[in-house]
Amino acid sequence: MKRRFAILLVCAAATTAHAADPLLGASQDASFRRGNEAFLKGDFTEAVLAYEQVAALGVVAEDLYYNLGNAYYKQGALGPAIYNYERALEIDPSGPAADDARYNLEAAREAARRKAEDRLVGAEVMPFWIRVVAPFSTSSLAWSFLSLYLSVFGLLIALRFISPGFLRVSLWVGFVFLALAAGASGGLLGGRLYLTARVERAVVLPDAVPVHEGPDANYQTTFTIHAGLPVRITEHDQDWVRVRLQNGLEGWVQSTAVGRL
Amino acid sequence: MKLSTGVVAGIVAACVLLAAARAQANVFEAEVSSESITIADTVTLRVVLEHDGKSALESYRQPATPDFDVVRAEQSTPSTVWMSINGHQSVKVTEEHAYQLRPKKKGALTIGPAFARFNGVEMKTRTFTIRVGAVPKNMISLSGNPVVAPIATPSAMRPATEVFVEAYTDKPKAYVGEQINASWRLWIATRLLGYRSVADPKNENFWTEDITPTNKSWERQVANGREYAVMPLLSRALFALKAGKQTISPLKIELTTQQSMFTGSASEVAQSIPLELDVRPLPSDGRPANFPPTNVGHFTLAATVDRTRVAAGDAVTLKVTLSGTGNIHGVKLPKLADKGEGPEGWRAYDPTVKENIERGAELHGEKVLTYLLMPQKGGRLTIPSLELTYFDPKTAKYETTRTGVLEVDVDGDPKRADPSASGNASENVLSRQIRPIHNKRTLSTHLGALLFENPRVRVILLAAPPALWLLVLVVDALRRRLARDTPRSRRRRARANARRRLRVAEYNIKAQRPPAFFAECARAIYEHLEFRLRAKVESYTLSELRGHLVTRGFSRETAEAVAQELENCDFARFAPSASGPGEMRAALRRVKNLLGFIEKENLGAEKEAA
Repeated sequence: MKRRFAILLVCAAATTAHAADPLLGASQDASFRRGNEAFLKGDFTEAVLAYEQVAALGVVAEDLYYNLGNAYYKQGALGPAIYNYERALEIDPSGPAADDARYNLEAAREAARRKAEDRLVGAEVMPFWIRVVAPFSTSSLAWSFLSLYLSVFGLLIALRFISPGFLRVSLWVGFVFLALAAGASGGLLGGRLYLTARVERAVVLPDAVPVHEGPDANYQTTFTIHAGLPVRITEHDQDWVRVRLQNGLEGWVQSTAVGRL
Repeated sequence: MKLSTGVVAGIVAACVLLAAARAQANVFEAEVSSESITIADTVTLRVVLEHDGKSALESYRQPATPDFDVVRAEQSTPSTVWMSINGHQSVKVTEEHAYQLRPKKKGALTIGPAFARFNGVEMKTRTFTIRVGAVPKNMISLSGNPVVAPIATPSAMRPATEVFVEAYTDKPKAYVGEQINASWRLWIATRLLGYRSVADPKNENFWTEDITPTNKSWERQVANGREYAVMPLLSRALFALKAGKQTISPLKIELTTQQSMFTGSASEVAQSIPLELDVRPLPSDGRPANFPPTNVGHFTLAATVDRTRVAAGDAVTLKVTLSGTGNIHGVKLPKLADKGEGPEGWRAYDPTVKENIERGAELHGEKVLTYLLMPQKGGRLTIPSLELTYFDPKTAKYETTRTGVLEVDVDGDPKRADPSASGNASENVLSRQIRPIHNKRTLSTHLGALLFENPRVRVILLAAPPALWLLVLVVDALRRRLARDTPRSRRRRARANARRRLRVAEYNIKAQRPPAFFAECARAIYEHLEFRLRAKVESYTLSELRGHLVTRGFSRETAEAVAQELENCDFARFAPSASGPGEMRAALRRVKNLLGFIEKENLGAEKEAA
């Protein structure tokens, strides 16, 4: 009796899980399509609303951010446009959609430069490990590592049951190569996850943002930065963040003035 | 007893006197806010005087600061505190003097002691040495100009307040299109902590160019007998588009200032006065018809071609350069081409425009129009002179500047050289646009990233494969261990076999099948004997079996019990009607006991091995 009840419980949980996901997915897709239709009709405000609604549900998809970037671009909001193109590239820097995102990002940056250009003197060199892991997406690294990792242990299990001979030797050689590849991809994945979690990168959203000496509007403004400028967040203080430019210059801006990648 | 009381009374009296003396001790101390500053900073010196009500402060002399300017000196209102210690009443008066000092030079500068005299006793504070360093390069200096220069102060523009915003222009009257420079400056006589612009000056009848200096630096000025720090806030070049009285709205800024050295900061809004300007119309004498009011200033027009001889079918680049002072951006230049039709014998394309304007006290620079000209026929072609009429406000006259006539020799007949040149080719300029949206029906999410960004799922994914591998190792080891043939494994198998037989037998009791029941019991006994003896015994008669068991080391009682039980089973199998459920249950208990005896029999190592 207990066993039957347990089976029923498992089945019910599985059914609920399967039923919930499609409903949520359908709602996301409907909003995404609504955004697309609004965009194609030229109603960019409605398109932004629809796309932002999907993004607020926690959906992480390069097509969504790409389209959102386009809608903001058409509205003339270059900071949010650049931010969303960067988000799209962050998810998948080498996928089929990345080429479009990269092209539009450059167009948006060019338009932003025509308004105001932040010329950084003496740019710092990005750390080596960031340059290594940044071109890969978390998703592609996750899948490659997972498949290699599973293959390594699958081979270990198979080797337990295969009697000595040519096949066993071949499998051992394969195992060594797979283990090395799994280690390398695991290292890259770890670096990518660390980059995402600990190194807070952001993009300036408004057209012009005054940078203050301290985390309050009453502090003296030391310089101004403009839409689309990539920055790193190094410190938080309530509604203020301390940002570091690529040449090492630092200051405080309101947290709403930057979009975190 | 009397002696000890006297000693205690003496000690108490001494304590009271000591406390009273301490309460009456005068305090005269000084401290500085920092002993290391930059030349742009100020240092605050505080001098504290504490004395009792009886001792009068006869004189106070402030510290000597020859190396510093005293920016501000303040004295707090004396505060009086009444105290009672062990019944002794005392009064303490405290007053504080504060001096804000600005260093005159760099180096180790000395602040001398302050002096005070109480009841004929002179006291002094310690001497301080302040290290004054240079200003870091990236710091806005409050002392950009260390020389305090008194300036003329029109009272309407510079009220006698601590903070105000000054607005002024370089000229009160100007022609339409003539440059007027308007500036707004912040004057502050207190310490500024921060500021922000609240409202910018506006007037829509002006074309404006921002000429605010990029490096805003403070300078010190004296106005109305008070010293101010002055900083430029905003500067604009204004070009009027309309004549008449014009008003520029005030500039408003919100400031955060330090009110006093004894209190905190405060915010206030300061605003300039509105600027009134008298814009005169351009004179009508000598004004050409349709004269654009933006062509005001002093300009020169020049034209050059990149070559004076071309082959048929080749293009010539013409550069028309306007240079001078004035609103270069707004100047309307004469047209060389109209809708593709150029001068006689030429086809002209729309020009590209490049401006290089220096924004300063007087806007100047140049505007370059680059035309592409295609000769439409061979021979010597001319590019006619271009004329620009402008109004010069310095001379108050209309002037004309013109380019020279240019000549270009075209070799061959362009129509023959390139038949397509005669067609109406139109240039389709495609500037950079964004690519279209991804119009998909569904969104694909990245499960991999989501999985590994969740710490719990990440741990499960990482731990599952090694755990599975370990499980396989354990199960395989168990399986191999079970498969080994040892006395213990044989006993385990025999016991399992006996349990199975007895379960079947019990089932047969419920099913009312005595023959089957007794058959299972007999099989259980035989198999257990075979497990102990490691030999078949079923073929023996009961008497042979009894003897054999004794020979192999079984006790006579066990051998007898085995023979007896097997006989009972044989009898019951062939006379089933005599065995009810009660008899069968009794037989089952006996067989279970008997199996235990068989297992416990000590046959000896040699016998067992045999």
